[in-house]
Amino acid sequence: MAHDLPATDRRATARALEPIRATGGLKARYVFADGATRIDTLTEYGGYRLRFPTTHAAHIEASQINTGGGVAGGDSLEIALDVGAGADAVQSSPTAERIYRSMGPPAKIDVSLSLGPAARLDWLPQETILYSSARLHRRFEIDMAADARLLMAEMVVFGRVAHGEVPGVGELRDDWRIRCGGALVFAESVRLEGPIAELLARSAVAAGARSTGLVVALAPEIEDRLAPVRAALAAARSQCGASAWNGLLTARFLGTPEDVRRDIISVTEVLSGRAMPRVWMT
Amino acid sequence: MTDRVQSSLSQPTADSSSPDETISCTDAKLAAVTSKGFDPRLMAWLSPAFPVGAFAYSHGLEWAVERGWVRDLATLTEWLRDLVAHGAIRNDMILLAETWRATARGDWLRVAEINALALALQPSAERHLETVTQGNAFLETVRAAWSDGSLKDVAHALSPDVAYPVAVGATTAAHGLPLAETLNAFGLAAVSNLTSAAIRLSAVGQTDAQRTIAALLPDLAACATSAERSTLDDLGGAVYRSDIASLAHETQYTRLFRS
Repeated sequence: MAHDLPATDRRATARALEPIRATGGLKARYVFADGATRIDTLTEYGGYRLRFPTTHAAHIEASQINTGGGVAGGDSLEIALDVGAGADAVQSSPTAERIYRSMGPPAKIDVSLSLGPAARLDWLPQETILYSSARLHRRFEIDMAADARLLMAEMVVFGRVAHGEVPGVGELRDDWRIRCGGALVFAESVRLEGPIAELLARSAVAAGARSTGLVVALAPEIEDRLAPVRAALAAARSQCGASAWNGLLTARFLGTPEDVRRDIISVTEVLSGRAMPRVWMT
Repeated sequence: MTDRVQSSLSQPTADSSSPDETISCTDAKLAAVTSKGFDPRLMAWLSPAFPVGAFAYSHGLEWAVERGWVRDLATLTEWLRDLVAHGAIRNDMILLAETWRATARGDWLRVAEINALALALQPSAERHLETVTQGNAFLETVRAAWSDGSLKDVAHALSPDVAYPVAVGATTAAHGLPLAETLNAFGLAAVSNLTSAAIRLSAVGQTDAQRTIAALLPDLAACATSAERSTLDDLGGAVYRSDIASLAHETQYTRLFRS
């Protein structure tokens, strides 16, 4: 595997940066009580904040904010959400998450989501932008009750495309593990390491596309939603497709950031039955 | 050797779990007739004639041909090279190797865990079907035709559905076949099957299909060597377009293949 620095230099750099590494995160618990979902406990640290835009919906809408502006190599971010029985939450973010160029160590993002019986979570953050030479290790650990409902949409952009940036040597490790009723039902493991633009140019990898998207939905009878999702994708501009099996529905996207974003929105709205959180539209 | 065959025949090995004791009478007989370093069972089990139905699956290649992404020797070779370096062929070899090691030490919980992960990693309904139908057929066929009951523990751990590389890893380990050769045979079988699909899709002719396989042998050998040392932490890939091809294939208008 290629690195931008020899291993010994990278280790030295990692040591030098040790004192200034940042750890930030959010821990929140949502509960259903008196006919509505509300926040029960909330812990915010290291520059992360959770805001609750005023809406008139029965569900709770939360927007996670990184006041530090981005995630640097060596930083670590932890998000833990617990959606209690019957609670209904939408988790979003007002801006893209930026992963800055790494001087050696990767940025780490660990997300753990727990959904109780009949709980619902729509996980709809805006895109993650990997700056040139960024390194990111991200992990989702999700544990949901058999009758809970989960909708996740995640989008990654390689390089600051709007600035014409061509991504250099970097790394993305993205691991998702979703357990439903205790059984592992969905796993995703992305490993992309080396000269990112050259790797993305390869035929079966991305044929030069700079943005990817993944939507995963698990819910009772979710397979019935495949036809409307495919109908929405008939007007898609990105390369994409959708499938459903074993109580799971997935859609994948590849294209320009604008096209992937547009097509993710259309599939997400079909699956959620709601408009996208307003932060997406500004 | 005769003594060993006799003792193996007289002792049911179905309930034992250590690698030595799981060698069946079939294995012992073969040890007497095969030359060193070559076991014809690998050729038989990973041959296109082995009845797992491999011919029915294109792993999304049919969509790639439909769209013109794969249309000749160069584009087919690049597509398959990506699957070996960044796609399911690499991941399957890692899953096979991990299953082989867990089976060899009789760790059935671990085998079941690897199988659950292998099934959960499938990106589409058709890819799930592709690995499950071949995995189930592989295990059933070896049990029915090539084994004396030593696969009972394997079959129990891998019920009801088994992913194809997990079935191959467990079965070969339980029969004492070497991991390195199994990985090489498995990779070659995967690439051969897809080049055969490319011929039927009229993307390449017979000779270019063979050129593709020849060109990919070094990639396959490197992948096998690396998989032998890999763990589940090394799983992963980035063949976004191949995964989308498998999704898009589900609604392709006319199709020869089930994936």
